[in-house]
Amino acid sequence: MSDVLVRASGLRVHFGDVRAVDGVDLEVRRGETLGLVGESGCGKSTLGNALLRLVEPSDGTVEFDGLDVTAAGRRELRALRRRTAMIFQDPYASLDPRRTVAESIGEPLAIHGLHKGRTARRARVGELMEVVGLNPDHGGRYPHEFSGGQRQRVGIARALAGEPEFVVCDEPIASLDVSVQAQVVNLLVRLQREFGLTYLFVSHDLAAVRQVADRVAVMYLGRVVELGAGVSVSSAPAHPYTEALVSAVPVPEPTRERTRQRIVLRGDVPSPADPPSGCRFRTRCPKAFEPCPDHDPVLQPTGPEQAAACHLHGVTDL
Amino acid sequence: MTTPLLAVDDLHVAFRTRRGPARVVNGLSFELHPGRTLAVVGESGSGKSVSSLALLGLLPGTAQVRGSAIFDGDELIGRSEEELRKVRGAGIGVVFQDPMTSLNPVLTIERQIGEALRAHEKVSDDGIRSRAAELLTEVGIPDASARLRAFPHQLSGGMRQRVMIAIALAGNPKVLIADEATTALDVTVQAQILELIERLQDEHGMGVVWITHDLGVVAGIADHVVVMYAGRCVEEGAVDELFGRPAHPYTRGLLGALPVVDDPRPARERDELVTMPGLPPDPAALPPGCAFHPRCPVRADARCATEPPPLAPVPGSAAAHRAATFYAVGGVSSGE
Repeated sequence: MSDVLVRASGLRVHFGDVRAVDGVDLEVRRGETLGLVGESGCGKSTLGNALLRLVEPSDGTVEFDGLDVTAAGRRELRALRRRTAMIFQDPYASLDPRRTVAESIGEPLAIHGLHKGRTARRARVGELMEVVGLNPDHGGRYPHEFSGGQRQRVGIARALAGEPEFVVCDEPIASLDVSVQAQVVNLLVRLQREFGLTYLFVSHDLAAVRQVADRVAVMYLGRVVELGAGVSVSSAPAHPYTEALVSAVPVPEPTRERTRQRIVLRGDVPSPADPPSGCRFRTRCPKAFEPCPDHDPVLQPTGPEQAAACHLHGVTDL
Repeated sequence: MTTPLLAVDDLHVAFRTRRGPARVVNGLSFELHPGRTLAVVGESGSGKSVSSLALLGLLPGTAQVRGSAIFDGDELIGRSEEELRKVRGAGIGVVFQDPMTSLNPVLTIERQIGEALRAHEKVSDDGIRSRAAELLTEVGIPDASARLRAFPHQLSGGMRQRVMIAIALAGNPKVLIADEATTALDVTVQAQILELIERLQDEHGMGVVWITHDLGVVAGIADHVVVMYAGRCVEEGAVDELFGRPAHPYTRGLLGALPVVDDPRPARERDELVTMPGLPPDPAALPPGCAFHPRCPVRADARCATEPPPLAPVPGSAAAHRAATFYAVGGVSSGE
């Protein structure tokens, strides 16, 4: 059994002119949490969707456990769907407001023909609710009767229903209050350990990503610009964009926060429909030099368990 | 101590609802001094935004506002709409979270800044154009005269928020209220806006009220911090004091709930985040006694459920450090 569960190779997802994902090679290892960070519009959610083939790639392949997802037929895809799941940012938008939460949580069971029969299904739904910290007696309630944090628990229970191996968590805590975020983060970590899940944890929040992820991939304008162990990426970033991102995350300690060197990037992110030539970050990079406009950097090793797409570590060209 | 620019005293806001009054702000007091930054921190529903809207007279008719808010010597509460309009902008500028809903999508940036300028002074069209361009340059928008002809959707989120700040500055306000002004922005853009507001504050000597849920932002910019829970200030103090020696169990819970970005341990070796059970109370059904007691990890006393703890000095701390709890950490009655 390979230790790689999901592998993207040369993956591109274009929407018309917009190159949301534009040449990504990435592996998710069995049992790990890979954090995927980046700012709005960098393509991180699209990449997460493409790994589950919820959007069609324009080019490249995705393999799941050795199987080519991009070439899978309808039947293979259905089998695959049971082994994967998604947790969304806003469970209010992803749950059907006219169905009870027990119906929503039980739906994947019906689709995949699991726990057949009413009693078995009801028991399984109750079990799932308990696992995520909801009172199973509340299965007959509707989404609007729950708080944001509880709705996210419903979304998680639904995601776990088919006993998936790989779960894409797409900004799972972004719309929750701080004290509720902590509850959901702890729950996700506990569930991973209990069920041996593999996570792709997509978030704009680097501090949250560091709390859960073994490795972290940083995206900018459709590309992974840095990849490495969580500790290395945040304490010794190898790409100037990661450096700026880490320095911009406010730290809740006044003396440190006031004295810390913050790298303030100039200008806006260029349009993904018309990315700069060469390195995409060069127009805002405080360290840009001669090769940057002409050579498109390749992700290259910069240390043990760390790689960056930056000419500072030796000029490369894609 | 200087006279405060803005002094809020015992502010109460309630909304009429079918289930009875929803008490959203319950006796809030604070002072803001020139050139200083006051951070008001809280989670959704804590009353932090409603209290600033109440000062500005921007709440709907179902709101009942009591208490006092003295701005620059004048009472704001109970003033007429027309009088308050003069205060807004010229006296107090406001920047809200989402510039896309605060800006009018069908008007150019010039029209919108122009409106704000005209509200405060009589100026010619040419005068407006040059003053608007000046303001855009001041908030760091390059190529200002071309940007004046742009519509909001043609600008990025960060640029739109800069436009909102330019509009807030149009009347040379003495106080700037930033209500979750960077919440919708990416962190690198947030860093730009924080830097901008700090510079403007240095140049203009404005007092800034920064309303936010983000304790990281607060740590970097605030002089004084007010932590709100269920419409009350549960703890306040100088920023170093409050972060260094948080006394209220709620403040301690909030700080413990935050993941630390530069904790050197890998994820698998970290402790779980500190969580508080349950949810903030419904403002239409506040619990008796201390509103935090149903979620409080300390809660060792029958008093907690019957008697609301007063906002009192934290024993052994600087005078300005106060907490509304019978169990201030480090306090006399820590129960140990």
